[in-house]
Amino acid sequence: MAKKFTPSVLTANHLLDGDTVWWTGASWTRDIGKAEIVSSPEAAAVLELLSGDATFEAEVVGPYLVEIDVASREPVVRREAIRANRVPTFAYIADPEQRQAA
Amino acid sequence: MYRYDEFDAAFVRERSAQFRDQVQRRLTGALTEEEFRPLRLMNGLYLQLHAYMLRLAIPYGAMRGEQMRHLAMIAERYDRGYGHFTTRQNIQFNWPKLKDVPDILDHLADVEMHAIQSSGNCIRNTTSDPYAGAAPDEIEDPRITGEMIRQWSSLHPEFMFLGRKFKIAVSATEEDRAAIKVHDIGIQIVRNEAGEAGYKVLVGGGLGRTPMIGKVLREFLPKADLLPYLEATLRVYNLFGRRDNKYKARIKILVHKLGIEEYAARVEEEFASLDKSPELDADEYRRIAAYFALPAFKAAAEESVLLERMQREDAGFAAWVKRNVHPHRQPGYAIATISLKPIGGAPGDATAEQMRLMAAVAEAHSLDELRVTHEQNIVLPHVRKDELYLVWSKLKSQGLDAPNKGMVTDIIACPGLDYCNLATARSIPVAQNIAETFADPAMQEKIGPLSIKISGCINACGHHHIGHIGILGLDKAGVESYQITLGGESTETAAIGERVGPGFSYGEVTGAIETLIETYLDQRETGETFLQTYRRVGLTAFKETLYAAA
Ligand code: SF4
Repeated sequence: MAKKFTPSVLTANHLLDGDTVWWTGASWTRDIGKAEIVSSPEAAAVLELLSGDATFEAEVVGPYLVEIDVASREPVVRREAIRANRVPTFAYIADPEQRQAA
Repeated sequence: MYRYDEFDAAFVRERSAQFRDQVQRRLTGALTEEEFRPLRLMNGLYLQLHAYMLRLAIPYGAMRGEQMRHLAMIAERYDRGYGHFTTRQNIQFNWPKLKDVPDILDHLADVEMHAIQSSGNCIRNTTSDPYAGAAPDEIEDPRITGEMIRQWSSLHPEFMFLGRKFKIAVSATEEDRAAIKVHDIGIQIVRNEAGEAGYKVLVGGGLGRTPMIGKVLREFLPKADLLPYLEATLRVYNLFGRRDNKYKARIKILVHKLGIEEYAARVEEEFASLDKSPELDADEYRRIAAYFALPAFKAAAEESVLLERMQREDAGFAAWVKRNVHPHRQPGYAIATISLKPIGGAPGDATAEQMRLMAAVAEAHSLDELRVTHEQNIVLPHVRKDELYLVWSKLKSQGLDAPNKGMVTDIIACPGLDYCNLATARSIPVAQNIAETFADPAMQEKIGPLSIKISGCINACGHHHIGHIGILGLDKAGVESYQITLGGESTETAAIGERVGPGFSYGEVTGAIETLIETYLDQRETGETFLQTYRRVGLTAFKETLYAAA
């Protein structure tokens, strides 16, 4: 039986600074809350096709789809949930100013 | 310390300029990511979960104060104010931006540092004993050999694209502080019956998916033969090692498949056919050795009245001396370890302020030398005993005084799922939870020497196989699961830990470690360490208590 489709968002790392980013449908955002959620395998396939586009390559690295819980807008997999938080899960040492900017 | 000659300096500058150009071409679209990726990796630049990560090469882990101060500047100006010292005696920056990396490499070149060959399937940075040049029991300084290997292996045209990465470690003492038995090639400086110094060469050690202890390839190799012999050893690997499956491409797999006798026979045959220039190599050895001449030690009495008195007066200092200070070859001197394992901290992390302090302390009190250890700590190799109290007081001002070297809270942990792209589970928070559980100094003292090592995936950067207690974080259907091994060891009695049984969840693993330690305390005979008890009673006793409640 084919695996049931889970709604997904397109993610990547930003080329210039490596930041985790998500596709809004028109541009890349650092806020997963603003990501476009695709709800069908067909829409996901289009997005995957788009992710190979040269204009994407100019801005981001390695786009891929991530399954998401629509209600919480949190990725289903821990790895992606950690990425979405954009910092480690423990209170890591960081320059307070940069932490604010992050 | 070795200083760059004109060739070294030009080479590093050129590489930095090349990389600036490559970054520019990637940004303008002239290079695709596929084309750019191997180029950035050759310069130590990875892309991790949250950001790029830049891994530097610190040859044999040795640095001057000025170099450490530069790392502090880079941490502050281009990163988030800290860096992570690794089990490869290197440092990684976790948040550099691609556009800044060429500038970072230029700054590094200013102080004879770089990131070349800190990634990719080439000969990586050679590691060594952090006590090199200071240890009372060493035959000669292993950094000289390390430097010979660095120069030989840098951009070696035949070995830039091996089947897999290749790691060499050098030690010059019976007590192995460089984990040479778990490297692709381990080199021990030894004496033959005639009293001449030479090399015992081990091959085929390694951790990762298939952990193995290295086997003796040559009992005694004359010093002048080192480079051609390494050449022959690598060539056999390059010719016969697998390239079709990256999990079977390390030299250990080939040595295991052929058997050490056959591997050695092929190396000897290749070695015999090589052109050699032992006089030239011996000259080069002498040239390099001059850089590692003994520093200008001050004449001093072996015992220090001040040291004795301050130990009596200050219990915190006494605890630090007991655990973090090691005898030195020179009367009146000591080797001091700065623990980067404060309770609750991330193992191996240091802030820019801490780096600057370590640099200043090294300049003022350790003849301007620092070493990074494979246990993710920093060593001040040459401290006068009379100055130890002052050194400790300074370190304390920045929280660098943890008196826990080699203890249960001196935990080795890789970055794991908090940073690493390949991770299957978190490691740093596990280390923090365990350290907090055993934070009480009296408890640590009761437990005695114990190494816990944690990796966030099978790649084993946290060296879990050779921890007395090893923890490997895996992903079981979306849930972190921690597999425990017991009885591993990294020194001259190196051993691969045995798996104790089914894994534990993130919430359970600290409790499991507590149970193992309680079992040891119950079972131990007077004066026994954890490892000694384990080797006497075996796995079953620990397994029974660990899974008793299940
Ligand atoms: S062991 Fe795995 S998780 Fe840890 S640093 Fe290495 S590759 Fe990353």
